[in-house]
Amino acid sequence: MTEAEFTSTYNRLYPKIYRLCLGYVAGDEAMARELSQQTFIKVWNHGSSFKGDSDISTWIYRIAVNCCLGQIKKKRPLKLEIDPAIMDNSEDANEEENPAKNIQQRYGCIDQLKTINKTVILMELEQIPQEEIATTLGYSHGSIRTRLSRIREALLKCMTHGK
Amino acid sequence: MENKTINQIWEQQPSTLPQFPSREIIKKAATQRRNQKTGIAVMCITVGILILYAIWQFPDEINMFIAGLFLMIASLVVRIAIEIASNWRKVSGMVHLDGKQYLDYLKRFYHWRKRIHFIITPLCFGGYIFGLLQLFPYFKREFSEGFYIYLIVSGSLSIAVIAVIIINQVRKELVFLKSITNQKARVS
Repeated sequence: MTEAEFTSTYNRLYPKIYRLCLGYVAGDEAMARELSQQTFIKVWNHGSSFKGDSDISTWIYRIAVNCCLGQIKKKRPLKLEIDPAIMDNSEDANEEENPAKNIQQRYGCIDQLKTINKTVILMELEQIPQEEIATTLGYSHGSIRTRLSRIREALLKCMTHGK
Repeated sequence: MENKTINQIWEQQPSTLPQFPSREIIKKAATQRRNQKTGIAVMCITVGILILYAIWQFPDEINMFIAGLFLMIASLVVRIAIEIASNWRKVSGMVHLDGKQYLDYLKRFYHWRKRIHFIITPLCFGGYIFGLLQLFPYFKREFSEGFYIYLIVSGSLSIAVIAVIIINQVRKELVFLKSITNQKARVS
């Protein structure tokens, strides 16, 4: 991988990788930054391991997911920053429509999922195609579809009833 | 609340730009790789010096001071070598395996680490302490009483600090192993 290729891939995929990690560590921004950085350091150091049998993004998502799965540090309490424009727009909204609260609640619900399911829903929320999620995680497309349906149902239940 | 709403809430998060430019990441990657190589080189040189010293010194004189020193350094070298090998194994799996395989791999990896922590680490730690204890009679003979007491206190403190660090690391890994082997999640 040349430096130019790495730079282009890094700029394109960093936001998705960061948000994937952020969701995995329930909103701990410092840890999410560290995990994202570790992902790209491994991508650069192990670039020769990529054989080209899948898309480069699939290989990078795989490293990011594995970085998240293997992290053993304790998560710090959630302190989420929400875009001020979104906060302004929601001034008149009732408590249930508060974006910060909703996203915090979302992190809380995702954090209760099984490890692999957490990564499945986070990748889906980042609009990564289901085929790519399946390849990244080592499941069949059908299995991912079934899992997603169960996870979404559980998430909706958690977000509506708080458990 | 519908599926569409779940996605809408997620999209309300601000878009995040990379914290560092890519060149900075490449620099960090190079530093990380260089540090690993330096660590291995230092360890190999230490082992080499120890072997040469043993060949040169042992036929004429074997005393408890040299034996103690050897035991301490050997314990450290073994433990550091295990850490380097562990890190290499973990990263290798991270790059080559898919999520499902890596999770299974992590379970096996941390079971292996558990055996290391409960068998090899106590042996290394015991070896280190035993080696250190062999040095104290020589310290007492060679140094003033004040400095001898300082060595006892600082030696004991450093052992206590190392013990706390090891215990914390072991506890963290055992909690992690439990969390991945026995997941009783509330949802899904």
